[in-house]
Amino acid sequence: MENKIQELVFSFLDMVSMKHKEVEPGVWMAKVPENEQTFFNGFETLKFTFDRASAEKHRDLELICEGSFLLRRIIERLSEIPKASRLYSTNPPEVAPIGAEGGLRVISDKVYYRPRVVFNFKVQYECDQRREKLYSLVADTAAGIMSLDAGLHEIDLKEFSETAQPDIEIEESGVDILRLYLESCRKLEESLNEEIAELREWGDEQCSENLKVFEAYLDEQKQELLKKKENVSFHLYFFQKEEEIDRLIDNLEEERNRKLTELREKFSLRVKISLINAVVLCIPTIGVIAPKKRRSVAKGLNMAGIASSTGFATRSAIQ
Amino acid sequence: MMTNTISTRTRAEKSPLIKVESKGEQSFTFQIKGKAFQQGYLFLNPQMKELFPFNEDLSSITFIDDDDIVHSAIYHKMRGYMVCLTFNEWWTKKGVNEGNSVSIELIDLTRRTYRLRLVNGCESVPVVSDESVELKISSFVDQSVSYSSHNLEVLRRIVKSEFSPYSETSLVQLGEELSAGASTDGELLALKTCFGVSTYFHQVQTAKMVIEKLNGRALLADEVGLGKTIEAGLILKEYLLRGMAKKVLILTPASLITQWQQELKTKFDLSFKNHLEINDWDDSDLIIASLDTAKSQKNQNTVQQIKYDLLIVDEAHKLKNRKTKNWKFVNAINTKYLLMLTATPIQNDMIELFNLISILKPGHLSTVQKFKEDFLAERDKRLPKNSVKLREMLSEIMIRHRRADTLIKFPQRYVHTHSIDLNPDEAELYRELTDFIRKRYFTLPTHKNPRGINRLTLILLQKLMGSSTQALAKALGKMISSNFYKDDFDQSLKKLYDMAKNIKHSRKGQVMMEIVRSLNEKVIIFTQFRGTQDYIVKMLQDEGYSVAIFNGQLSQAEKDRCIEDFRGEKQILVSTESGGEGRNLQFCKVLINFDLPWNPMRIEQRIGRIHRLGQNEDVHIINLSAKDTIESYVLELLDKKINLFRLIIGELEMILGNMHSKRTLEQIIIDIVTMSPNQDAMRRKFKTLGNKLEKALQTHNEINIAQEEIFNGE
Repeated sequence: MENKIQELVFSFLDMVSMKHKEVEPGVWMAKVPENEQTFFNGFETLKFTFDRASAEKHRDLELICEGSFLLRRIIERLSEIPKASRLYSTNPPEVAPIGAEGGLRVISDKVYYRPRVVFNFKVQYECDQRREKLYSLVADTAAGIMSLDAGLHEIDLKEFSETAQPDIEIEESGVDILRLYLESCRKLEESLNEEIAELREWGDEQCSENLKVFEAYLDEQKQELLKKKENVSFHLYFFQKEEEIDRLIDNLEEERNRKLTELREKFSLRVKISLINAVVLCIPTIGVIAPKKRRSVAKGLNMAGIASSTGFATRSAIQ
Repeated sequence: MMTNTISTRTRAEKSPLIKVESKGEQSFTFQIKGKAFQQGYLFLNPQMKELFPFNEDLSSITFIDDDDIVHSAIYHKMRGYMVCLTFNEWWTKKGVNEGNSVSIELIDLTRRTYRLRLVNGCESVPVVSDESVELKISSFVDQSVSYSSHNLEVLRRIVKSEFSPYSETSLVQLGEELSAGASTDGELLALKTCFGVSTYFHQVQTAKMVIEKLNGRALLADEVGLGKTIEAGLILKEYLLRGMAKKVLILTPASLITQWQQELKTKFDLSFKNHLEINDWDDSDLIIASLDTAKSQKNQNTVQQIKYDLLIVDEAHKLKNRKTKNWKFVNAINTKYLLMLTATPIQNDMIELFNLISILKPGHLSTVQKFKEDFLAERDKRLPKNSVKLREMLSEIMIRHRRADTLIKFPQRYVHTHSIDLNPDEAELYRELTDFIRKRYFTLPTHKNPRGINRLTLILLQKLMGSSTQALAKALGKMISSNFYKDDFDQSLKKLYDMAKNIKHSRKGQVMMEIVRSLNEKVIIFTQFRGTQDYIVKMLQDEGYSVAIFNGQLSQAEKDRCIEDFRGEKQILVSTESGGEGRNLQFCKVLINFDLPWNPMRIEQRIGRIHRLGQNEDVHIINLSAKDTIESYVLELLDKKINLFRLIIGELEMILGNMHSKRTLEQIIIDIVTMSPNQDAMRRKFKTLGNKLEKALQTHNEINIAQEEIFNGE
């Protein structure tokens, strides 16, 4: 873990043009450029370590480790930078896949790059608890969604290069990127449905349990006040007393509304899906698929099934 | 490079643009044909584009159909089309055939929301609906899943071929992997980055329990000295690190604000702003304030309008009465998580406990009436019946550890007080200065006659005298050479300065040296003043002792080095900073109070530097006090009346709280010193104060006995 943190931090410093050097074993120093000083809490120089013992000895050192605020901020900042890359496979050309729609394969000797997109997603569940999960979807412009896996997609860089072979061009495909993305979102949501339902059920249970005891507690107070109100008629200034009791009842109502909102907010499930990055993998391909004759009626999913998977079709999939 | 890009086909060339049948001001009707019908692609003609006037290359559009189902589409402005996966599902559901008419009507441009209607093949202009779509959305649409707006930006980069080197893309990925990995291993992240904290099993258990089982709302009621602040700090930091809390408010007695701030800074690297340092309660996400200030007329509404993620209330027993402003105020603060800290959840009456729990989880202990019936013994309001059942219910909301349960060894504390006879010249100076202060106190500078010495300076002179004549001489020297004191009309300051300057040997200094000579181990010597520190250091160095000097003028790095030197080769640390620096000095077992602050909390902080959780050996506290001085009276008060030097760290605040005074003990002492016309009057006032302190201690002990019976009795 520590090595990965170091790798991340050093790469980040390089990215923001901060040269760093090891000033003593395990302690690094970097000059913070003016435009980055706000990010580094106004410091002109960042002196940091990855070693807890060193940081404990020297309190002026910034400890960067799991759970440190600076690491968290670096990660947050990186996640705010939209990133997409394109890599070219160095493997021999493949034969064009037929894909879900099927069709006739036409083989020619022309080699072209067929794009395949890796979408890496982060799913954040927030209720009373919070958890994060990572998923990757690989979608081929010819074959559609190929895989959905937990964790982020590892690319074997031995098989890819950042430069294209000069004589091969990228062929546009029959499926566009936006559609692939939307299909990936749909696939991802489908896979999350069970977990979402489970968490939602837990939140609802917690919320209603809390609400039940709270309602009883407030009702008792209200009943007591009402009883009191009945009895104040014997009081000399009964009208004032009654007004006071009415005010207290109003206050209880106010409290009820406030706590209800508080409880609902606390236990309502929120799921946020973020596209961490996307990598377009260009696969050398031979042959093209002639599309089948189009069907006259749209290939649709069963709407009833969708509606029953709570909220699937009703969400804003992109924003 | 443009030829080498991924590009969606120029569909417009192959798929005809949608033909508008009719157009209203905010709507249009069109026939669904071809790709629109088959795959949900809409190729907008110029007339339609007017209804989608967005600047971004890619934007998300929301369509709400007749059944209030939301369809999300992405609009690719440059290519003039939008794509939606669920359009054709809707056609299928509604039995729409290719060629039927559909209308699109703008609902909300800022939210990019449109109404999608089936016109059933007729060519009529769609009926503009008056119904509140807002309501419909909120009541029918499950909005629990949302997509980051950032997603489209990633897509835009692909569409526009703005690719980054893979090293940068994978860096983002590595960050996310680290972040997700950190949140799943079940360990407290907070533990990995807190300093100077010897976390104990019970503290870690408490933090985990509150986060995982108690939904972040709990009464932390450990016995004093077991580190409730550390527990709250762990929970707080964990919530911050897990991203579950952002806005946090800590309410504490004013006397503990600085201590909380220091502990959170040094141990958890959290910078809480005292509300007095900022303009607005909303200026900072991490705020600490006194309960009194927060609930004041001026602040009350503002605080209650803010939505906090976490609220921590220290000394929560101040909320024991639901009729008080304290209770009502805290009960009305909107917060997701709530921690209430007190070692004494019950002081006089079991209902107090009910009231505290009612803020945390209203109704958890049922209703007041039922609670009384089920749990209140008739003979004593402090004792419960059905205590087993009560404890079971409390375990879901309250965590209490006893020192005895934790098996933590609490070493002995030995106190040695040296009552010193001042040298005749020192005694004379002491008398002269005290008289001078008393006289001058009654002729304090006023607005009309601003000349003279102000109250704070007079008190400072008195304290300096109690510390050392050397510190006093230094301060007096500065005063008489400054312009402000040029009109020292009766030359008293000059006279006092001459007297102080001529005293070469301090009796207290001599006694301290005798003590140091008799010790062969590490010693911390505390003083309040730099002048005294210089004097002590000189004496020690003249005799060849190795001394580390710690004071507020050192930089952070110098302070670190100083502590490391003391941990290493230096035998003696002379420190002026008593504040909880959070540094671990528990390798030292002997502490000398060369002088005594009038504020007992500062004395407790000094002791806390070497004697608190984590110290395994007995410690010795040596007090130097000159006979018949104010310091000796203060010492007697604190030592004899409330056993200050033997109290567990944290207990002092609880005892002082039982005095129910709005003034701090230091303020009371200052008033006694400055307002007493003579020595005898002063002694009498100190005696009365002593009695009050004794009573406060007695109440404290009674409460402790009651807690024990409630929470641990049979």
